[in-house]
Amino acid sequence: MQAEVRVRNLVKRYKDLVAVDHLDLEIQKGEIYGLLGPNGSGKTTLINCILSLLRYEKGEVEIFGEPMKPTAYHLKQDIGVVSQEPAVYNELSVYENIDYFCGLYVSDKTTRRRLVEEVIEFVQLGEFRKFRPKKLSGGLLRRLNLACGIAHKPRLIFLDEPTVAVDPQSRNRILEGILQLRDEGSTIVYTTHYMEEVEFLCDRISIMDRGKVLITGTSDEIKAISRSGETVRVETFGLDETHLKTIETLPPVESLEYDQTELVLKMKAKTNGLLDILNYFEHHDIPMTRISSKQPTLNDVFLEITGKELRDDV
Amino acid sequence: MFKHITKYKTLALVKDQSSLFWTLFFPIVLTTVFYLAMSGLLSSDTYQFDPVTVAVVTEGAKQEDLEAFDSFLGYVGVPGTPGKDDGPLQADTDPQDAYIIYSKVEPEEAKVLLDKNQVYAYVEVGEVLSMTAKNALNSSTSLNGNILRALLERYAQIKNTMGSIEKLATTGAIQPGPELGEKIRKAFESDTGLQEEDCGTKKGDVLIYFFALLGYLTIFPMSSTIHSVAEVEANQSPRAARSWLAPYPKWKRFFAEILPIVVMYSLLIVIIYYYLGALGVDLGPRTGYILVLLLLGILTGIFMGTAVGSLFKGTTGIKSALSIGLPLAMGFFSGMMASVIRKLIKDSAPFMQKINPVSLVTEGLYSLYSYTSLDRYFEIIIRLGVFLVICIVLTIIGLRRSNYESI
Repeated sequence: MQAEVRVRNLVKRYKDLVAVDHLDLEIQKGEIYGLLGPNGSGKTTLINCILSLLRYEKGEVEIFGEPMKPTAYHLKQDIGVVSQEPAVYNELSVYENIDYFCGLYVSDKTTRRRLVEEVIEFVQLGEFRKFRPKKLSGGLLRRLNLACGIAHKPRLIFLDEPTVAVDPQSRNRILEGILQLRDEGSTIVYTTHYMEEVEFLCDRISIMDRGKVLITGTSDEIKAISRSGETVRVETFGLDETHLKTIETLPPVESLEYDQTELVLKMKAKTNGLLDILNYFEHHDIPMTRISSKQPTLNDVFLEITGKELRDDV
Repeated sequence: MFKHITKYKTLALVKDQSSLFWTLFFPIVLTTVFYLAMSGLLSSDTYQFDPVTVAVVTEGAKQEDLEAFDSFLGYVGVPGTPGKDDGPLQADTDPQDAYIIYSKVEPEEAKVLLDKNQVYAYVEVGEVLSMTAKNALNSSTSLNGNILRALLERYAQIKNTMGSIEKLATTGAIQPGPELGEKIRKAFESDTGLQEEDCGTKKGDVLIYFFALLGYLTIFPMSSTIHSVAEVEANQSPRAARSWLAPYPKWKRFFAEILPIVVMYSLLIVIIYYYLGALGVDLGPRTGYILVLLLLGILTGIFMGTAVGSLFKGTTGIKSALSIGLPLAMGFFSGMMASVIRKLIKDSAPFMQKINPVSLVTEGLYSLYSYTSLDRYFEIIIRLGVFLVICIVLTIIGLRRSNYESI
């Protein structure tokens, strides 16, 4: 199957800093492709290179099977971009903003009017159509920003952290909208910091750091490579030292912590220790008030892969 | 799509109240303030002056020089006779348009007339002219000195030029023309060589403020176009980045962006010109030439803004400071705040006038007002044209990137 986006050996430098480092990528038609990475990992730079907005030192970028260039207007016609920062005119109303940006792609007025109305309904901004952006809340502004980028019904959409600083209601609406766009046939490239969004939305995910793709796969595939296993928490009182030492020697247990009220057990990867713990407590007649088990999350894998040190944007 | 972009840019301009104030109301308010400040001076009659009294000594002069000088005198002066009781020279006929009242005398008599202050100076005609004045440094009479000196310099300049042409004619290189005297008469008909400041006219001094104001207002659109570039260059604003991704060439977007600004400021400068006329500020009868100059100035201002905006990626704050400061500085050096600055620049750093578009527009308007000849006007039009071309080239250089090193 022909990829909608194909990147080969892409290198982009800012002086001595390698922002994108010999990167390969393929995004298939109709998928939501998540790009995860800490601040400064090269996500936005990668997108700008794919769009030919940024010059790059080395590599090839193909969109819809053709080389992407700044003047490839026939390719640009089918691309939509929603930037991290709202890019709208404060002097124009919601309707005018959407109509303006849609008009850069669609010259027929009747078609454009229909598309603008559809997207206004899609982002649920109908009652705000005459409002100027300054009068909109952060969430509504993000929805307007989204509408301006997708009104022309592009085949390929780049969404760069579209839900930053958005209230939960607007966020939900945006996420549902993205799924709807995918269902209507668009291919979506989605960058974010929010793991739960990626897990909810993306068919495939790449985790990027220092300009490189460290891992690509579905959410489950990525979680499966985690070196850590499930975490079991048991609420129990007065567990003595002997029991603790015995539990620690159980085969699936990696490590444990106990604070006289809660026992936290880290299990070895790819093991199921919950049953062993339940059996042990039952066999030794140790009372417990609550027990829970949590499998490793994407967030755990992300931190495992990219490290736990704090990052700042370059 | 061009029409679509232009339509929305116009809408954005009109709906932006602060920009509308700066674009439309500020120039009109400034013009009104200038008028209110200067109207008292404009209505004054103090720019009338009396002709300069001169004794002319022709002894020993060649016939050819005499004829030439007579033609000159015939155009700029009227004959006169010494007044009674050693009074100053009095015109024999009505000296309404004359700059000089002259009397042809012997050398000795000329010295006596000068000693008795019956004439301001005496001039000895010859291949080289000489002028002798008694009170050249006296402030009350230096005005006479300025007028006489300017006229004689103009005469000498034309005579030398014509002499060179005649020499060429005698070699057969060119066809001989009319007589030297006739040529000088014709030359003075088109331009006396006198400038307002030579005559010390207050009207000229006051009008310079309005010329400089119009010059400033023609460059003023740079404050709009300096920011327009940020709507086109993807590395200067998120909106520009979004527009860059549209399937429409950058150059077409650029022209669609600035077209409403060109139209708006062109209309504005025309309105201001007629507004000044309605207020009673007479900028001279050459409306067509004035408007051509002003519209050329507007284009220069617009492309100055795009050149600065495209070459300097600076922040909005820096650009705003530049867009306000540059035209003001140029206006200041053109005499908008004090006409003495214009004279100072003209005398001590004339090159600054040649590279300052506000000065060029100011001088162009001045030349239309003061000179019969259009030579100076066209010279300024060419200079301004060159400046405009340079700004366009710089804009092209600044905007030529199709993609960016960083965003």
